[in-house]
Amino acid sequence: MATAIAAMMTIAASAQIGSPYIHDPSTVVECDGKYYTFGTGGGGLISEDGWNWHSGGVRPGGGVAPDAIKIGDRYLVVYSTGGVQGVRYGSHVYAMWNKTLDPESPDFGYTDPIDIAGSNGYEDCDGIDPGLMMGPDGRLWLVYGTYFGYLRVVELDPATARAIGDPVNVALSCEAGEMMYKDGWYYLLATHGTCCSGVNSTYEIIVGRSKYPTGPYYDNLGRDMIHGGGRLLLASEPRRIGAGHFGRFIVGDGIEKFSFHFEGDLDRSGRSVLAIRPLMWKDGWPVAGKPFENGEYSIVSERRGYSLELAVNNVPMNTGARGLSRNADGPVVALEDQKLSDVIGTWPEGNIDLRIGPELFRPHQAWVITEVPEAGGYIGGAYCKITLAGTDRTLTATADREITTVPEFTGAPEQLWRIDQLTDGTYRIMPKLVPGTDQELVLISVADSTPSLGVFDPDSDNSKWNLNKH
Amino acid sequence: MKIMNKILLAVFLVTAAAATGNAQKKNAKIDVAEALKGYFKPVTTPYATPDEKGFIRRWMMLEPISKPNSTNRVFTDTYTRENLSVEYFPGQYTVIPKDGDKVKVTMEYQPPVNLTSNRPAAPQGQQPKFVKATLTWHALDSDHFFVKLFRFATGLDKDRYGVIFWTVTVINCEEDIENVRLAVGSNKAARWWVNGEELLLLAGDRHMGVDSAVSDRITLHKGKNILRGVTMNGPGMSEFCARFIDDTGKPVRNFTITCN
Amino acid sequence: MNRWVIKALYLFTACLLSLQAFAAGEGDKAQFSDYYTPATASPATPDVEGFIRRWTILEPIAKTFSSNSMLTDNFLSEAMAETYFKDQYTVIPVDGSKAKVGKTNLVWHSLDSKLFFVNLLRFAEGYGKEYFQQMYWAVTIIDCEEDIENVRLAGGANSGAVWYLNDKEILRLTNDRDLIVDDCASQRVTLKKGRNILRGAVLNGQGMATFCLRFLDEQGEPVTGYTISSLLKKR
Repeated sequence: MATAIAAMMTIAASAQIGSPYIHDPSTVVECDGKYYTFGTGGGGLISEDGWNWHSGGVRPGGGVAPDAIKIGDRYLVVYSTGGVQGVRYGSHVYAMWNKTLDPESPDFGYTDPIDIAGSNGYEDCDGIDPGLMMGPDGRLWLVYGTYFGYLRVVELDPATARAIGDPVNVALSCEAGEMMYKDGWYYLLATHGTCCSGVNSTYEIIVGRSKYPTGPYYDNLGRDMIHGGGRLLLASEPRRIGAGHFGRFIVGDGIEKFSFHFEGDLDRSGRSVLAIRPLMWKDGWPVAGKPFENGEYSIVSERRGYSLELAVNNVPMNTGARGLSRNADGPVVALEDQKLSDVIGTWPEGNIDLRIGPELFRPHQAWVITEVPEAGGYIGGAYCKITLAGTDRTLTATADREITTVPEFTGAPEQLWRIDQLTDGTYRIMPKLVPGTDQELVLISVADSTPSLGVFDPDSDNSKWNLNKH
Repeated sequence: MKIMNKILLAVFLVTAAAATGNAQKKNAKIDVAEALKGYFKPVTTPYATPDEKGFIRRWMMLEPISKPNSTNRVFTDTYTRENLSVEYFPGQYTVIPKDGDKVKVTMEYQPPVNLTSNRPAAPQGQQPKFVKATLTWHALDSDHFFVKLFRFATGLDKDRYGVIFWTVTVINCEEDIENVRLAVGSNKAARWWVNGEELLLLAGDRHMGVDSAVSDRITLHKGKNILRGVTMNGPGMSEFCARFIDDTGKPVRNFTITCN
Repeated sequence: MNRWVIKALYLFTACLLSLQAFAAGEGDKAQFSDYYTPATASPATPDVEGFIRRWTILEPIAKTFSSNSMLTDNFLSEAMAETYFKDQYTVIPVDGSKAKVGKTNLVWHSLDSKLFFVNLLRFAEGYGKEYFQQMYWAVTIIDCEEDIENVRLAGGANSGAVWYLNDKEILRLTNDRDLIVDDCASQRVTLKKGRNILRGAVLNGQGMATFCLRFLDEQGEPVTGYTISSLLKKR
């Protein structure tokens, strides 16, 4: 166990743990409290918490690039096969239903796959890489296609998954199509670049948008995706190369993630791995969030821009010029920051409560946020401890639905924090557990200078924080 | 004539007739318009103009030269320049061909495409074999803003993967048009010239994005300007689009396009 | 008309004009009545935004500190541990009654603020008292028909302040602050059915001295379902 934990800790922060190996993952779908994603070739990954993934997903039919969606009380899974019957680019999209994705469930069982879309091998389309979207009006859409020719969109009957009407060309020379809808816009995600070359892949996720599900889709320069347009969402991160096969996962109002694979993860033998990141929105465009990084931060309220701090006396720094003096005589020197050792002797022992105060980058305002790998995680991240820099003093939720700091980290669930980046780029900070209640409470500002725990309100700056890395 | 001589003559004549017949079958005229329907039409008008978005649709196009590439990942700058600098026929950088003109080339052999596999057939661990071929120039108007090289090849029953396409057209201006840029989207690697000056080298496993690469500013001179491009591909689709844009990124349209 | 009468008329007019000017100058100065009216026997309610405007305030007590940045936690703890007058944590003062501080008798005044905040500087000035480097004690009575649970006392102050509800400290504002609505909030408390006493002290060095207070519910909305009273002399 210790070796496994040590091994996990050597992997860069915020990579999904376990065995997240998959290629062309479907959108992540939740079923009875677990998370599922299916990939090329068959099978798929399951996670109990959205962070630790293992094999075990069951999807018959082989083929490539499946997608999945929950409709009503059942699950629709699509996948594609290419080059059937000896015809190059003659491909098929198949659809099948299941009452559950849990292979251990007595209700588990796929219907026979039906052929719903594809390409005849002689047209400018290769009908693989299906992607599903339920629109705001209950209409179901399928996008499919790859680099050979066009991506196409066709409407499906949500009761049977059969195509309604003719497909429409919507983009050129890309693959891994997926659609989503937000605030009056339909978005088409796809990939450009070379796939399947491990750490040398130039795979990247691009996006265009339209007022109609059948397009035309334009990028941020007004280029039609039929003209190869597309605004970049994500290509690579340090150590992880070649993003592709976007899938959106809505956690709640104001909190969204997206799943995809990296073609090559340099920390994992260059394998293709599942990744999940925050999805933000800016000026009507989706923006990829970054993975969380362990480090020293100021935790700053979005409400007022004040910094979370221990409720201790401010110890003034007796250095430097003051007041209105404009005395420019003498050498100019860099003054040291106030050090922890300068002030810790003035603090009480035992628990110390918290305030939010003007940011002065002082020791009582500096927090080290560190993932705790053995504490498990949630979709897109691992639970963290939040300790005062240079000490073991730990932010803790209390049974009064308030917060305090205790002198030492014990790993108790009230000392573990879930950190989700919201769609506007700020953060929700939530304890794993608040003692004495089942209520889901988050760190809030109840006043400019007073932090507490309360119910998350995605429309209120009181519920939001910024993490400013030192 | 002696009988043996008559027999020999008869054999000769029959063989000659058969050979001629075969030759005729081999060179049977393809109905180009039918073969390329949906993508190209043979040129019938004296000149064309850029379409409403400035794309150039009239081209002299040479049937593809075989140059097998089993993957599109080889198209580095160096590989692209080296392989698109091979002189396959005399005058390849200067010719302004006419419809039906032929060139003789020596090119790398590749077996007919195998549609049941996922990769075009490529020589496995052997020395490349070279064959002679006669390729024809076609004067065509594209039905689309793009030039679908792949369908040009398949329509004429030529090699479709691992191929090099030469294309040339003539831009006619009434006055100098200064400060314009050649804007090309290309699947895949390519080199482009105007009036013999190389403006673009396009490398990488690229796709055809409108204006995905543009040249430095040039002047289209009053009179004739020769726009020439060569495009190379491995597996998959091959196509390009080309237009001229001004300093504000808007298409330049005040010229005509001819084949000569 | 007689020359002297005309001169007298000019003089009279000049005097009148001077008086006007003088009166205008007096009118520019802040008037106590712009800030306060005397509290009445009828219970008040929080204003529409929930602010508590009725207070019984003691004329200020001198407190030496050169700068508001000295108003740290420790300083306030020490300040509140001192005894300034008899029963300072239990008295429910009657309007007009006195508290002896050292050798001086200071008077309690029951007032309704005309603004959402209480301007202590104008209070002191209105009664001819010093207003810099002072400590101002204030008390008010809150009556509820039922328990009101899970509310927070939210306030701002210029500058430091400590507040007690029913004898328990629930809110402290430290350091050199500006008056900001809902700058600080207490933990959740209950306003109990019946009578509740809200008591506190505001300290200020230089500059304006003010405070504002209201109760907020779990949604951050003002609580207004209670009445506010002062004890007035029986007439």
